[in-house]
Amino acid sequence: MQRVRRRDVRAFEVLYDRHHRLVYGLALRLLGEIPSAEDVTQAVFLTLWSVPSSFERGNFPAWVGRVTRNKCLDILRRNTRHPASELTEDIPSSDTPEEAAVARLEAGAVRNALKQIAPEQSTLIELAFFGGFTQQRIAERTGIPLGTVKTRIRAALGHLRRILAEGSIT
Amino acid sequence: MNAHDAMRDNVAVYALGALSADEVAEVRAHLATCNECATEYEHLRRVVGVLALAADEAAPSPALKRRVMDAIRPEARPRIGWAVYASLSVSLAAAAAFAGLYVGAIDRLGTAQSGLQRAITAIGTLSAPSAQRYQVESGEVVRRGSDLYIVLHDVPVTSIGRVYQAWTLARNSKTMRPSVTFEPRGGVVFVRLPLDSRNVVAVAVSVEPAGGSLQPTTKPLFVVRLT
Repeated sequence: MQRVRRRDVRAFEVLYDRHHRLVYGLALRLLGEIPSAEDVTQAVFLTLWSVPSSFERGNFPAWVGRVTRNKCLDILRRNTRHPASELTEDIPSSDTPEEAAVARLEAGAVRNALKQIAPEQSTLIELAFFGGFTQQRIAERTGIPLGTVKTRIRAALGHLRRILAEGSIT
Repeated sequence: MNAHDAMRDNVAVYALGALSADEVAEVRAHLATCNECATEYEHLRRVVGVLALAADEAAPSPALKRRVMDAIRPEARPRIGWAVYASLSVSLAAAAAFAGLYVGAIDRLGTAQSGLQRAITAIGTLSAPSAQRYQVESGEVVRRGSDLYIVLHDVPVTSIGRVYQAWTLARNSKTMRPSVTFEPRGGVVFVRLPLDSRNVVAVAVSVEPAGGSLQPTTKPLFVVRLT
């Protein structure tokens, strides 16, 4: 990213090659159609080139994933289908061991963690994060009472936190 | 379950980004006063922050890479003015998403340019190697020729009845003049100032009452001199 900030086109191309499949895959999953997913992918990387200062430090793939999700939610919100709230793209960094562990996390660890939590919890995480649905829409789609949806989401995130923290130590 | 337990559930859902917009304000107000929930929120936010890594990867068409690389390479752009960016196949959705919806919304010049055209122009300015960049709190001010943009990321959403307002100081002037107001919703916001930047020697942003002020009423988020 330092080279991208110095307008190094080759460095930017390397970033694109490394991360475009994650960006496009996430956008395709959220938007469900190729043209929109490609548009968002293009927008994400153009934003990265135009405002390289928007990423300071931390887990770059996770950051670019948040940027991608927020751009997808912009489109979904415009279509008034899924009025979910955006995620903040910048997460304040601290020099704690937990923060250092998060910075090192890779896709496999996160996927494995999701597989380890109860299906009734992971389903809600998938609907919210990868589907862009609000808790209300999740309750409507699943028939689960809204209060139960909230409690399960909180439990799921708590379990994920513990699993990811434990996994980073081993 | 007591009321605070219910709020803790809402905090988790908020961290996941699954709260409806009308519920967000209540949770934010609570986080501002409850250290326990604020701490838990920060922990959960970090967990949510890495969930994107679990997305299944997919490969787009090779043509997409060509479009992206062409957009950032000045030498790849034809020399016929703003309209040439249409050759980059930037769709309305991509342009609006990229521009954070503010390039069009706050352009007070009242030109005939469409939102897409303004976004395409913004792309050209912001990505040009010749653009002058001035780092500020949470972003930068970018000047290229007569164009002037404020680019901010992750600025807090203003409270109800409050907006962000830009200010400019003209050469040989002693007072800042009011410029456009904007209300970002988070993420990256691009604000184009509707004036010729070549006469501007300083830019500032402050939080003001809705509709803007004639003079700043709060301490500016930043003041930057343009050299």
